Amino acid sequence: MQHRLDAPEDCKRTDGDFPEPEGQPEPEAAKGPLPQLPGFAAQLIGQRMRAMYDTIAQEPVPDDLLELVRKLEAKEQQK
Amino acid sequence: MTETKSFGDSLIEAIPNLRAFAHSLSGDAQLSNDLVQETLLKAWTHKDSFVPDSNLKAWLFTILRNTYFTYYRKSQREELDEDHAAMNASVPPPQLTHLEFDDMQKALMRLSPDHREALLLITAEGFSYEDAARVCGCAVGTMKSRVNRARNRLLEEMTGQLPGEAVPDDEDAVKSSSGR
Repeated sequence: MQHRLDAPEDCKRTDGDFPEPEGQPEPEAAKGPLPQLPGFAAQLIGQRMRAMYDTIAQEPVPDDLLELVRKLEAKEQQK
Repeated sequence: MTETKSFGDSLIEAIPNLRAFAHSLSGDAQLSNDLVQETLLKAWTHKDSFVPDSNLKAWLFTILRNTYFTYYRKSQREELDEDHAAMNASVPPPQLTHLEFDDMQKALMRLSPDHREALLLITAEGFSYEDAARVCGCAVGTMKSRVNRARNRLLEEMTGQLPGEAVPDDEDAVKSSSGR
């Protein structure tokens, strides 16, 4: 399997492949500053999103991911 | 706790957050494990290019999101978007106060990937705007605007109202709706 070896550095996108959404006309962009999101609703969305995120983060880590790291370590120590 | 934590230990420590980010970003549990696996492999291969004492989590998130966007571009994003749109079209918007895990995931998947990523990094993962901008390779101002737009978009969808109209801010409206 061929991995791209420049992963950590390639955070700069190539514009042709994936245009920035800012370049596209967005209706609300034309009307000037966005209205402020009501604080209560923003809070609620934030809470729900964190709850969802934390639920996944608290799942047990699949063994194959743990094994992968341990194998990589073991391989290096053999050298 | 030992003072010399190995690079592998640090990777393992980061896996739960990487999985949460990958799953929320891709909307796909199986794909998210593949993305995390690929991220761990790449991180290991390039561990010499990681600057010690810098933010390992941000570095790993950068690898993961780049891996995801490479995959996303390859898998014809229009098609994916249509699938998601079709999948979600028949689902009535949930009540904001009853928003559960699946609803949140579906609502997230209706955002553009850039907006989804921004919201997740800031709101769920708790990165600073500076770190999140570095992860995504964009300007801090761009990050702030994406988060704001993403929040507004979610609110608009979930309440069926435009932001700014969603919560009554005058006393009459409060009285008439709650009877207080």
